[in-house]
Amino acid sequence: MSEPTPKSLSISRRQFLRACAPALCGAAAGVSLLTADHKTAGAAAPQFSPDEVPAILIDVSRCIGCGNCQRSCAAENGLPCDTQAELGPDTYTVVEDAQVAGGQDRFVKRACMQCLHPACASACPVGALHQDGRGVVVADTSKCIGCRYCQYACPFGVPRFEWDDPLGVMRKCAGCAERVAKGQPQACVAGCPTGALKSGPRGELLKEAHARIQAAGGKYLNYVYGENEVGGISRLYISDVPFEGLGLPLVGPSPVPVYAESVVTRTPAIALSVAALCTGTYAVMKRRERNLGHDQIEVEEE
Amino acid sequence: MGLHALSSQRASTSAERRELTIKWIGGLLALLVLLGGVAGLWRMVTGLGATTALTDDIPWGIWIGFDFSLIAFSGAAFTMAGVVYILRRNTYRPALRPAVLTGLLGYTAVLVLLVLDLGRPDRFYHFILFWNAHSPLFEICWCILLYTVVLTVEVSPQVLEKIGHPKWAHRIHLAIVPVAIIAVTLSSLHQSTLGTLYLNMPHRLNALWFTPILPVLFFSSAVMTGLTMGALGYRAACAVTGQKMERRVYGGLARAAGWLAVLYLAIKVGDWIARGQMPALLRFDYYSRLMWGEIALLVIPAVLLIVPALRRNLPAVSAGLLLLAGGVLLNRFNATLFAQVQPHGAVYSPAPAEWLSTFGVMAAAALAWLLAVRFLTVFEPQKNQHASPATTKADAARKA
Repeated sequence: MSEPTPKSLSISRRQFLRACAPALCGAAAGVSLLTADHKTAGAAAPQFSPDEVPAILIDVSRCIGCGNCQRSCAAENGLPCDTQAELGPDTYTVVEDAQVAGGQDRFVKRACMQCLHPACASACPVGALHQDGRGVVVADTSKCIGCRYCQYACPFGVPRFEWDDPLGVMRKCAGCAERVAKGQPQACVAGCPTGALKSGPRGELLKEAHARIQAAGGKYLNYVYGENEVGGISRLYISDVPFEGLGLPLVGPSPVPVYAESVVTRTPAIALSVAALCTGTYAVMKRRERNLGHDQIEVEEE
Repeated sequence: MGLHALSSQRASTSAERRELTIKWIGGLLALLVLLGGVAGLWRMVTGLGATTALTDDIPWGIWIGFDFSLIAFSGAAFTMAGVVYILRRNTYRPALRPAVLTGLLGYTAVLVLLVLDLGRPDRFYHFILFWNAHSPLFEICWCILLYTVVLTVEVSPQVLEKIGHPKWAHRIHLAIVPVAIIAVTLSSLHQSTLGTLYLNMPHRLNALWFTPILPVLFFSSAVMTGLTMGALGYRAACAVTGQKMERRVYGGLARAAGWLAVLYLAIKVGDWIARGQMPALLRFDYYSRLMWGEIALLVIPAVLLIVPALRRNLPAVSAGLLLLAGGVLLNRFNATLFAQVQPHGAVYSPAPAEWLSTFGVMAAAALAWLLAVRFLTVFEPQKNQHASPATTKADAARKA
C-alpha cells in the first residue's frame, strides 16, 4: 500500500522525539514537585473557617416528633407539604422514629449533614453539588446531569434522584443557604417549637453542646455526633440514649474524599510521567531496532 | 440481509461456510440492535424510574457494570499500540488494527450506554462546560472524550485506504508514534481513574475490594485485559477474513496476558496481606466467595497460558483467554454491584429494558466490528509475506 518513508524524514522525527524525552522527564519531575508543594500548602483547603460554618445543634432528648420542621422546610423550598417517612427528591428532611431500649421512642431529625469535606461535592463531575463561600453544601440543579455518583459518595444516603421524571436530577437539602446568608436561622430551626433545633456557627454550637452535656449531669451521653464524623459535619447531635439505637450511620473520622483526591490531584504529574516513560522507552527500543540494522524493519515500520 | 436466499444455498467450500456463518451472526446481532433500540427509545421517553430497576439505594446497575467492563476490554487498543509502536514488537503488528477497531467501537458503545444512564441525557456535554477537577468521574469523562478522538485518528488510515486516499492514510501514519504515546497516556489515566472512582465509596465497597491502590489494580488488569482482547480480536479477525492465523502472534499475546494475570494477582495478594485482609479472604462468606471466583478466573487462565505443554494447545489457549476476560467482567461487576454493601439490604434485579438496551448497544458495536473487519483493510499487506494457500483462497472468495 504505502511506499517506505524517505529516510531523512524518519530520522528527523526520531531525533525530535529523542530530544523531547529528557524535556518531558524534567517537566514531569517539576510538576510532581509542584503538586507536592501544592498539597502541603493545602490546595483543597476551604476558604471558610470550620468554626464559622452555619450549623444546627440537634438535641434528640428535646424532640417530640411533631413534624413542624418538615412543614417549615417544605414551605421554604416550595415542596409538597406532606410529612414523608423517607428522604426524597421532594422531601429534604424527615423525622425518624427510633425505638430504643425500654420501649421508649426517640425522634431523630435527618437531612443533609452538611459535611465540612463533602464527598458528594468532591465526586460531582460538573460541580452541581458544591460548597458556597460559607461552607454550605448547595445543589445547583441546572448543572446536574443525573449521573448519581454523589449517591455512592455520600456516607449518609442523602442525595435523592427524581426517578419519576424523564429528565431527572439530584435534589437535597441545601442548608437554607439564602436564609443563613441573611443571618436568619434555617427554616427547619425556625419551625421547631421545643428548642430541639438550634442554629448558629459551628464552633459556638460545639461549645454549647459540650456545655449542655456537662451542665445536665448524667442526662446526656458524653458524645457529640458530628464533631469528628467524616472529618466533621455541621449537623451536631446530642442524645440521652446511645447513638447506636438512633439509626445514625456509624462512620469513621476521616473525610470520605481523602483517598480519591490524593490520586486525582496528582493527575498532571501522572500524565507527564507516563508520557515521558513512553517517549523514553520508544527512543531506547527504536535505537535497538536500528542497531539491528535491518532494512526490512525500516520498511515494515511504515 | 439475504438470509432466506442463503439458507437454501449449499455450503460447499470453507469460504462459503464462513460467509454463511458471518451472515447468520450479523443477522442475529442486527436483531439485538433493533430490540435494544426500541428499549433505549422507551427509556428516553419514559425516564429511568419507569424502565429500570434502579433506586436511590442502588443507583448504578448493569449499564455501569458493562461500561466499566467494556472500557477494560477496549484497553486492547492502547495495549497493542504500546506493544507495536512503543515497545517496537513488530511481530504483533497483525493484531494491531483489529484491536484499535475493538477500542473505538468499545468506547463508542460506552458513550451510548452512559448517555442512556444519565438522568439528563440532554446535558451530557456539561462536563465540558462545568469543571470539578477533584472528581474522578470528571477526569474519566474528559479522558474518554479525548481518547475517542485519538482512536478515531488511529482507525482512520484503515478507512482512508479503503475510500481511496492512501496518501492521507500515509500522512497519519507518519504521526502515529506521538499519537500512540498520547493514546497510552490517556488510557493509563482513565483506566486507573476507574479504580479511583471507587475510592469515594469506602463506606459501601467491601474491604476485600476497597484499597487505596485500586487505581493500580484497575490499570494492571486493564493491560492484562488489553492483551487478552488483542489476542482474541486477532483470532476473530482471522476467522472473519479467512486470513491464516499466526500462532506466534496469538500465543505470544496470550502468554503475556497470562504473566500479567500473575502480576495482577500478586499485587492483590500483597495488598490483602498489607491491609490484614487474609482472614476475611479465608472466611468463605458471600464476599470471600466472590473474591475466590476472581482468583480462580486468574489462576486457571494463568496456568493455561503459561505452562508450556498447555500453551501449545490452541483450544487451551483460547479457553484461558476467555476465562481471563470473564474474570475481568466479574471483577468490574463485583466492584459496581455484588461487592457493594447495599443500604437497607436493598436488592437489584435488572429490568428488561436495561438488559435489552445493554445487549443492543453491545451488539451494534460487535456488528460494526464485524463489518469493519470484513470490508476494511484490517490486515496490512506485508512485503515479506509469502502468500499462504489459505490467504489466496480467502482473497479469491472475496473477489467472487
